[in-house]
This record gives sequence, structure tokens and C-alpha cells, in this order.
Amino acid sequence: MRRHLALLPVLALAAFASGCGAGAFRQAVTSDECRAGDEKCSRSGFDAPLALGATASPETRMTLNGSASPGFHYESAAPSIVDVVDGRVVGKSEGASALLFVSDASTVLDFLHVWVKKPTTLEILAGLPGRQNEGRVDGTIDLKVGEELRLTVHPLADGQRLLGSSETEWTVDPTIATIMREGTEEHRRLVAESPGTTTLRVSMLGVESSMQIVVHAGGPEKAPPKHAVASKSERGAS
Amino acid sequence: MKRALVCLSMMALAAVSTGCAPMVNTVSVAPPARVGSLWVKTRDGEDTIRVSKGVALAIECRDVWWGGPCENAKATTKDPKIARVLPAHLEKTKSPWGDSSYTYENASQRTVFVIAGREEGQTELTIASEDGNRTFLISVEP
Repeated sequence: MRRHLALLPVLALAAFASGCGAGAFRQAVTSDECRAGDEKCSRSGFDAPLALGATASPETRMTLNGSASPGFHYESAAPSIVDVVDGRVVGKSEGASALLFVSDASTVLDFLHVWVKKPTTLEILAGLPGRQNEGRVDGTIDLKVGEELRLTVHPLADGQRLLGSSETEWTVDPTIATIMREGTEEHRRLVAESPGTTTLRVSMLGVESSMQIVVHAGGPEKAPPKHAVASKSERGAS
Repeated sequence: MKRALVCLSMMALAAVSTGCAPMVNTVSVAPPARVGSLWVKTRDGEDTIRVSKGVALAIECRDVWWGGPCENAKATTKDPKIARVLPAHLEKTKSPWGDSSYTYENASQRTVFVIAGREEGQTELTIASEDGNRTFLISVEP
């Protein structure tokens, strides 16, 4: 009995440490694109359903005793539900399928059941570069001419955030701002160019979301040049 | 000591009832609202593994006398399009069911296989080892 009681805190610690996205054997931890434990990542684990039609790139690390990770690859239990294409997982049809982490010697090191769900809407996140983390957009955003906005879009289903991304269409109408690509389908940078009101529309996986942007005249505030501050203090000193 | 005797009695009973075939038990669980079960009717040929399509279920093979890992075990399914079986590595210290009688006594690898339900239907799983053979009907459900 005492032995079992002593095991309880160890088990609790193991459960805490393994977090979401832990494999059935507790020998692997999987996160969505960002490395497990990366605090800067907005998605900490492979802990949500994969959007139907979307592709995700899981990051998996093995936690084997006395061994670094052997070479492994992903295989799906049911490729008609979750397929693996070039190391990326694709939601093919609604349901659940195990994602197997198979060593290059064809031994299963662990597995994780992944659910596939059809998205019902998109969530847009926005943030000003260098000012704050991206937050959910619920209303109109005001910008000054020349200001930039970092945008991210996620598929949602019944309020639950889904994993994965797909080909995304971004449009502003009227075109008083430019949408710049950032290397991935779900990220964009919007640059305000001329005053006015515009609508940003984003569509992905058959669902669409939009937001209003008002661009005001006058450029973004700039810090005074350093030499100007120095000359002020120099004047004060004299 | 009393616990060890109970274990030995159970193993002896299992050995008699299965005709010295190895013991097979599950070492993982199915996800919510999905099936993943091992139904042992002791007589070979009547044992059934039920999994939902897409579910992976890990099973462990142990020799019936000492509870050690089945030696040189190989598992195959008759129709891999319905269910696949792959060997698996499961560390002894990470048993989902806590420690087991042989965990600290036997330093060799555990004998674990993962069954993956691929498409709805039925097929047969055979585990062949130096400790005996076992055959299971695999039923992959929607």
C-alpha cells in the first residue's frame, strides 16, 4: 500500500510532464508545428482535431529511457481518415485514426489517435509587429497609413480550434492596404497604404471570415532620432 | 509472498486452460467512443480482438509459466487491408498498468504488437513464438 502511495506523485508528475499530445505508450510527445515546450508557440500540443482537408506538420520527440530518438516516420492506421504525405498529416475524412510513430526498422515506438473534423468558421488573430502578441479579432481595427498588421487564421469547429492549414485566400476590398505573404498559408502581413475603410476577407477549407479595417491619415509614430535626443541633452548641459 | 502465490496459481490455471499457449493482454486503450478490446475465451480460435476503424491497440505476449516476454514472436494478419500488425517497443518502466511481476527480473525486451484497424471487416491474427502460438479473430468495426 505504501509502495502504491509512493507511486502516485510520480505518476502525477509524469502525467503533467507529458502534457497533451502524448502517445499511448508515453514514449513520444507531439506538438503542432512548433517544438514541444516552445513557449512562443500559440499551439502547445497536437491536442485538437485536425481540420478536414487541412495539412499539419507534427513535431514529435521521443522520450525513451537511455536512448536518443531513433529514426522514425509517421504512418496512419486508416489512411482514408488521416493520410500521411511527405511526413505531413492530412485530414481526409471525418473520424479518428491512430498516427503511428514507426522506426525505420518498422517497430512502433508510440502512437497517437488523431481526430478529423469539418471546420465551421475561421478565427482571425491580429497583432502589431513589436507591440503585442496576436489576439483574436472581434471588431474593427484602426491603423495609420504605413502601419502593419500581422495576421493569422485558424479553422474552428463549433468553437473548438482545429489543427492544420490549407490553401487560403486573402482579399481586401477596396484595396487601400496590401497583403504580404509570410511563407505560410495561414500567416499574412497587412500594410495600410491609404486612408479609408476596407473589408478583409479570408477563406480556407470552404469557410470564410471577415473583419473591418479603418486606415487613418498620418504615418505611424516614430521615435525621435538618437542624435536629436543627444543634442537636446547637450543643450541642457551647456 | 501471498500475492506471488496467487499470481502463480492464476498462471497455472491460464496455462491449463489455454493449453500452454502464451498469454496475451492489451497494453493500451481505445480513444473515446471507439472500440479496442481483447476478448479471450481461452480456447484457441475463439479469442477475438475488436477495434474500430482507425484505432490502434497494443497487445503484449507473455509466456504462461513465468510471465516473461514471448521469445522470437512474430505476428501476422491474413488480410493487412483490414488490419495491420506491427511489432512495438514498450519500455518496461512505462507500462500503462504499472509495474508487473517480471519488470525488474527480466532484462530482455517486452513482446508487444500494435494492431491497426484499417478497413471494416474481419481477418485473423496469428502470433507465433517459441512459447506457443495464438490465433485471434480480428473484427474491425465502423
